[in-house]
Amino acid sequence: MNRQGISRGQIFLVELILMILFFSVTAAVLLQVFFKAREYSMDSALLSKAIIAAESTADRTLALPLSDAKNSGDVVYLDENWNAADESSSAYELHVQWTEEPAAGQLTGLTITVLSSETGDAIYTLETKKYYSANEGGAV
Amino acid sequence: MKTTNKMCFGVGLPSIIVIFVTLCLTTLAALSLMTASADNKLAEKSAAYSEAYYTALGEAQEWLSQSDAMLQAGEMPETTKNFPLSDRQALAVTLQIAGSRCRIESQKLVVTEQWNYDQYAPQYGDIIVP
Repeated sequence: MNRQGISRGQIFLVELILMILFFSVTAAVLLQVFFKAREYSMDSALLSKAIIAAESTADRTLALPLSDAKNSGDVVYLDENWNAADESSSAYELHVQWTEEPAAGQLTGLTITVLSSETGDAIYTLETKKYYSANEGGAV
Repeated sequence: MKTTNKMCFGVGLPSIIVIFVTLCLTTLAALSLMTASADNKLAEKSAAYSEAYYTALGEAQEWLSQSDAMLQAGEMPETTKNFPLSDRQALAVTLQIAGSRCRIESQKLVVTEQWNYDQYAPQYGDIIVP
């Protein structure tokens, strides 16, 4: 009776060890899947926010009259929450670049690039063009 | 009198618990990966759409500059043009000619190709209203 009880205990322990091994292998695989899902999620959130920042900057820049558009090519520094920040504390950079200086009666290209300050990699780039009429010199 | 060492847990119970927990975690991991992947694809589609929109907007500005130049040369440019964004959508731009200059009167997104509703067979007795 006693021998039989010890035998069952041993079987139980062996089963427990095997299950812990099995669970650790499975958990290692599943953790990788969870990390991958987190990575995807962070990438898509970053891209969505970069799109919004680039679009709003593009709309704002395209609506500027010629006199203000001439001085609009600049770098805007943004913090982790996409609010305006200093260069030293910035997490993202928004570059507004005209291909040529905007002038009356001229078609000019506008490129807006959202960069990561840490790596310098471009997250999102938006390209468009703007024509300023010769007579009015304002937004068309 | 000898006492027997009986285990309070039966053999096989850890296996059942571990298999159950593993199945739950696997389901959760698969669902979170699928959701994150779908979100990522949606963000990429949104990025592509936004790029296409601003490219069309740039093309419209280019057309405006060409029309302005044509007007200066004494030719009459066409006043409406569509700039495609995708297979089914376009940016419709209308010009207004004022004297020797032209300006954009309106620009709006229009659907260039409607869904062919007849290709979908009605199911469950529902009615497709175009």
